[in-house]
Amino acid sequence: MSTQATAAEWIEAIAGKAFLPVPVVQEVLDRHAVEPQSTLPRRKSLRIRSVTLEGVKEGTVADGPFGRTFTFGPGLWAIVSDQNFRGKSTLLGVIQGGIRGDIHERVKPDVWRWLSKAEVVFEANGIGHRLLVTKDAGDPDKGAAGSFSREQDGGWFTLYEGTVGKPLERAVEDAMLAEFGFARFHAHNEKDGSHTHGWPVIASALFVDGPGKAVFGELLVDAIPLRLLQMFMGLPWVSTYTAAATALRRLRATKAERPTASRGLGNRLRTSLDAVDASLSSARGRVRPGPDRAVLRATMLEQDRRLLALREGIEETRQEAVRVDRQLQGATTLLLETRRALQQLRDERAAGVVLRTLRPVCCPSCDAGIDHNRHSRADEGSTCALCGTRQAPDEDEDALRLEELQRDVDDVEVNVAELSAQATKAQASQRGAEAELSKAIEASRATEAALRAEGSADLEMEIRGLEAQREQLLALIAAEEEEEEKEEAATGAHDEAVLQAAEEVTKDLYDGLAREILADVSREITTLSRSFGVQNIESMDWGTGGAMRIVQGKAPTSFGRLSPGENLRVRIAAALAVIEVARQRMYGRHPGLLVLDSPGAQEMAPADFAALLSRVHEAIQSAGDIQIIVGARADPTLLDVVPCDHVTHAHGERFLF
Amino acid sequence: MDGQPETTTSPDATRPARGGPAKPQIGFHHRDAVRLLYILALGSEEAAHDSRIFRGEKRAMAIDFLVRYPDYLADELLTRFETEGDPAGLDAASDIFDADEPDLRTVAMVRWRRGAFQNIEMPLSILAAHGLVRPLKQTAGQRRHDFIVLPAAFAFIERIEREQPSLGWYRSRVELVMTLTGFRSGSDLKGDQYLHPEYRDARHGTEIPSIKERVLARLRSLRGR
Repeated sequence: MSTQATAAEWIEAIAGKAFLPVPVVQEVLDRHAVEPQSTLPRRKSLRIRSVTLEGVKEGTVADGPFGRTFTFGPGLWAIVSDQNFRGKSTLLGVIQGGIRGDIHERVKPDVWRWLSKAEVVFEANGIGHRLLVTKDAGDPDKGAAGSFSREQDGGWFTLYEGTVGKPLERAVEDAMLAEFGFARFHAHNEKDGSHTHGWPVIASALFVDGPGKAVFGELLVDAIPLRLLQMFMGLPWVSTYTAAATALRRLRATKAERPTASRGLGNRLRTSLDAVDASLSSARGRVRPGPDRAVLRATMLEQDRRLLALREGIEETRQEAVRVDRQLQGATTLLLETRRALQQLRDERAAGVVLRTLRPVCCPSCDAGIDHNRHSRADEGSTCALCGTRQAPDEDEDALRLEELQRDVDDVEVNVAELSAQATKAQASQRGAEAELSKAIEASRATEAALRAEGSADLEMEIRGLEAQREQLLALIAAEEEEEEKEEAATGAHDEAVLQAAEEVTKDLYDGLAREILADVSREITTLSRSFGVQNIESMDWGTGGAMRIVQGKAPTSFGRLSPGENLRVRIAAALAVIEVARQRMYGRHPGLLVLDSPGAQEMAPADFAALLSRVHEAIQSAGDIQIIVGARADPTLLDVVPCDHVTHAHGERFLF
Repeated sequence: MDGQPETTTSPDATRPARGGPAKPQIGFHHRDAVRLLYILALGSEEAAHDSRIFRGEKRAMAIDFLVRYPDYLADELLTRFETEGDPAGLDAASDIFDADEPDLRTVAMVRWRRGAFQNIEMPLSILAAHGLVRPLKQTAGQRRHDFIVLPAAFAFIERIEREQPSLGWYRSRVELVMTLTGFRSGSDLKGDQYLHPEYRDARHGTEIPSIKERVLARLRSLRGR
């Protein structure tokens, strides 16, 4: 199959390999976001146009305001100083920050404090972009204003405006990924699971500031160097292959985990069900045979009716008792009054009898004495000696009244006795009725208690609760089993087959081309490495799996085992090799920008670095659209290599800005 | 008994509410006269010329109150028992209730501005007309009414007890009261009576209520100790 296979051919190939109809394959691939990417990318370019720094220095030997714009073009450019710490790394950091959108993260705190403006203008595929950060000079706060703009019709079209930070970085990343046709690439590893890498990782490969673990970029994980190599080489189907392979690994990982989790959940549910069954059995065992609750309720109704009747009866007896008692009270009062009247009349009669035996000795009105004769005459005339009233025969009216009163007393006493007996009876009757009511209430309460018996009610509640739990668990287990079946049916059957087929088909699609390109790159790296001074290199072979087989002095070795100086040389060689191969083949996505920060003395002697750059200069001269910016200590050999109008030189004690 | 006891000033009240005895044409003046005689005689002290004198009409009324209200008398006796530890007081109070005296013997008095009051003119005139008692004429500046109890009174009392023994109750009652009152002044005795809230708070012109239940409860409480 050729590398120019269409998307339709690709799907048919997968369907054929997986023995599945195309629609099923399409559905699975869509679900896993595996898309065909069959076109060869055209070359890309990224160029730094200018860097402007403004601000006020503080705490240095040269305090005061500063403002300088550094301009760059295609070719080799050098930023040099006679002394260290003159601002080279700051400038290179601002360049990197400019194309990543994170200047604030790439400048040392003291320099950040001085700045009032940092501007990086660069071209992406010939279109100007500008990252501008403004702040108050002297303000250490990272919350500066940031904007990202694109050149349009002679002006700047703002893509982002706000504070510096993640949103700004995201805006730059989106624009750059779109511009260079890079896709965030998916990766899956055991440590982090599924995740994506984007523009920061790609951009980091454009900057070499010393030896590193990886040939490209800063990270070794997720086969990033290989991905970057493939991406820069511009192989078609790479993203597709990556997506398919990632989806397949993710699916397998999920399937490997899920059965365990699923079985775990199922087992836990079944264990819970067993426990609930045991509790239920125990609770049911505690149920004591007792009276039927329905019977108890009927009894209670009957008792309620009886209570009502008893209460009515009590009311009647109470009213009768009150009536009799009232009569008794009246009779008793009457008896007492009559007895008192009898007593008083008796006393009155006795007193009258004895007093009447006396003869008045004087007039009670005028105190005048009454002589004996007057009494004699009165006796003779049967008249009163005082008032002359004729005396009637003594009928002893008082005696009659006494008798009458005594009879009254006797009558009332009989009445009182009868009423008292009736009252006693009424009270006894009331007490009896009340006792009966008490008993009935007690019986009713006992029935109520039996109905509400806390123990049995609790037990009943417990059993109901356990039954509900059991139902719920059974439903959950059934749902879990169904889910397992569904998952097996949905994913297990086709997805893995389709993804595996997709991975294989896609790999086949680009594998041959990749081999050819990698062979070219390997050859170029070997040549460049040798010319950069890596000793005794016989061959460097970059396999499609990403490993670089190196034969050095007839002994096989690897990138990781190279000395720091060799490591740095090979990194630079690799970047240039990729750019060169892409240039030769007329396709590829490497943006053609390389920024090299000055290597340390232990890695490379200044003369060696100058020699290396000389080789670099030679290597890129033929490709007019490559830009290499180098930061280094000023060295005559270096200055000889770089065209003088491409050099920014801080002489003597001076600073770059 | 908390019912309305009849007073000698309203003889109509002697008729029970329903049926009952015949209405007396006059009040119980003879009984009142005999009771007053006992009070004046037993409460008198020696005076000149072999006669005896009872000092103070107010005092007579204060003594009369205790004779007419056996429940108030019982309360005084209980107080004496409590303050002096005299068991005779407790027994006497018990006897009063045992004999139903608060019900049978109460002759109610009306609460007037200066306490329990009973116009004694009628019984006094009976006693005076029969030569038993002689009210002393008031002299200028003397507001107190005193009474000379003539020797005939004592002879008559002997006759009463001989011919009408049932009236002997008045002697024993007045003697019992006298053990409490002695020769204290009428004002002093009334002061004690005002200590009873039922007496003190009775509306003027209404009968002084019985305190039988309260005293009975007090008696039972003291008996129960």
